[in-house]
Amino acid sequence: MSLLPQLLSILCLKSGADAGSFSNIAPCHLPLDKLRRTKPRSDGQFHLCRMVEWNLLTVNIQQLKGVLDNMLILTGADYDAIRLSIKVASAATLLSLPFGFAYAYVMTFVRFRGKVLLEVLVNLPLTLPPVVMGYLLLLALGKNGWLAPLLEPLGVRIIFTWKAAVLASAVVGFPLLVRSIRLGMDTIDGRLIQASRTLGAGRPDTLFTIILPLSRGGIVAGSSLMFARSLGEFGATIIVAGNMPGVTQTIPLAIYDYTSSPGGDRAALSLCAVAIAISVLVLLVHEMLTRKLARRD
Amino acid sequence: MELRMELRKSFGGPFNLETDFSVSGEQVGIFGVSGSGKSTLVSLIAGLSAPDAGEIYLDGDCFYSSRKGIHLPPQKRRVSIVFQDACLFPHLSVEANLLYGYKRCAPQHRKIDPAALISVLKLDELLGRGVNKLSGGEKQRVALGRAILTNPRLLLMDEPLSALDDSLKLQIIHYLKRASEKFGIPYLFISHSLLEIRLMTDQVLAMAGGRVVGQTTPEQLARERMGQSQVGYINVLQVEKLRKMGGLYVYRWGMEELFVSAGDDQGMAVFELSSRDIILFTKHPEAISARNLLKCTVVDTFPSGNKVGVELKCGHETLIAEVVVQAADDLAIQARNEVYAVIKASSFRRLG
Repeated sequence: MSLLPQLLSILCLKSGADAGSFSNIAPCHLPLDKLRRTKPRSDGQFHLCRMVEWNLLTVNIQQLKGVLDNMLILTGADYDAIRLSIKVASAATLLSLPFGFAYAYVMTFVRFRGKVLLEVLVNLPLTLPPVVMGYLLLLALGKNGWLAPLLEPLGVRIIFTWKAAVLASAVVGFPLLVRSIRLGMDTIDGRLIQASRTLGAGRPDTLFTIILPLSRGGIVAGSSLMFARSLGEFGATIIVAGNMPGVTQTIPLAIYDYTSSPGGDRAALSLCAVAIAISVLVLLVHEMLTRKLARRD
Repeated sequence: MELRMELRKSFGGPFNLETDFSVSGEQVGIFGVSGSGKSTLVSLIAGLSAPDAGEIYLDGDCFYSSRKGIHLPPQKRRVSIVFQDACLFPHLSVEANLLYGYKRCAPQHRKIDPAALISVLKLDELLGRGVNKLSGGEKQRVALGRAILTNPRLLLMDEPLSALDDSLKLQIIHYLKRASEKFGIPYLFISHSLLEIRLMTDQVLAMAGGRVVGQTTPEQLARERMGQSQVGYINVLQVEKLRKMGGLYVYRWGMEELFVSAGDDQGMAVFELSSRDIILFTKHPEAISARNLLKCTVVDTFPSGNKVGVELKCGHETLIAEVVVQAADDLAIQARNEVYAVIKASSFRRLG
């Protein structure tokens, strides 16, 4: 039995509502939040959506878990990989946000020499193979790396820890974040900034009260893109963080492991399903936030 | 307000701004066609850009001096701008927009009561709204209120009426003048419309090619430019509706009655009439199709380009007409002559 019919059977038919009871179900077009306040009708009919919601609430969690366990073969190490992926993607996005915003601001509003050069440098990860980025990071942060004299006295070790995965994701996803924020900033009318300055706001004040709120759309879009890109980061991560289950193994690295070992197809597919689900969720959240911001504006 | 600017700014092309003037007054205009350097001047006064060299002083305080190495940032100048299309902050409500500058004003300068200003500009009903739901005129009123609440030493109005419909302009002019007069805010009104300058200011700097080419009264400038202007001199007539007759509206203008085709049912109205739409007769004309025949006295004549302007007195009201030099000679039009001014009912254009 495939996953979808099994899920449907749990959702719709669990709480005693057999197939025959559909005959006294009235169609319903009410939104869900209104349905929650809707009482059962006195003539004994039920709204279809209300019944589904009821079933959702009383669904047998154990049965659902059983189905998931059957269909998605996830081991403890897989759950670790999922947790780590989300942790790494979140940390990389949060870490990059202030730098991305500052960089986008400088590139949009400040005139200086060497702008093109900086632009090329920051966008390099978009065109370079991620493995190259990973190797460069390894050269910089490794035991005898370029930055070792700075990091060693502080007792900071990054290579082959989850922090390295964060760094790899941050470097590779940074151009995507910046591009979206800059697109948002480019649409800000320069005279709004001028108006703010003549109304008594200094540069930092204008930055936080005008530019930042008006860049919200770009920030949301950039963060979603970067989060999604970080979830899928592979090349740079495997070089700089390694592939240690439970320590630095993210979802793509775990899938790579499964596909390269005999009989790992089903497990790989399960992790693929999880990756798809997370990506869809990220895109949905992004859409919702974007619509909400557009409505407010 | 006393403003002194002696500066130079180049833009790397053929256009350079080079000014050396001093102006004092409460309602000063800057007139010039597009590209004459008006908006650059505004941004230099506000501190949004810096000249290559020179000095800017307001009421004796140095805003910029290349010699002394002074460049006061915009937020320290207390010079506010009302832009052409309001430039309200789209993420803030009307109230938050109004109070944006007020909150940043030093306590000793917070002299304008927001409630009083809101009442003068009739903004009460707009306060809770988002700015994107306002009409053009409402936006401009909010922008004006936002600028005035900072109690600026000088209010710069950069073409604030250009983006508005003609029917709204007079209404906004009323608000602009009323608010700045009530709260004692001097302003510099920048426009390419001589009519707006005449309605808003009592002296004007004329700009062309990045230079101030004249400093005079708006009335004088309008008369000087009448000959070259495509629309001639615009007479502004404040009238009161009397009745409707045979498809035309009859208005009282001073002691005269005017027949107008573009009227409506409102009591008071303002019409504009070009000097080119007035025909002069030295004798009483008979059997004419035009609906308005006014007996006037010539007060003065003045040359303007290849035309002659004729200042007429109709009762207590003044009217400027224009004729070509040859016609002025043929009719021997001179001061104290009595003439008949003929105006078609369709020549009046509703201003507000």
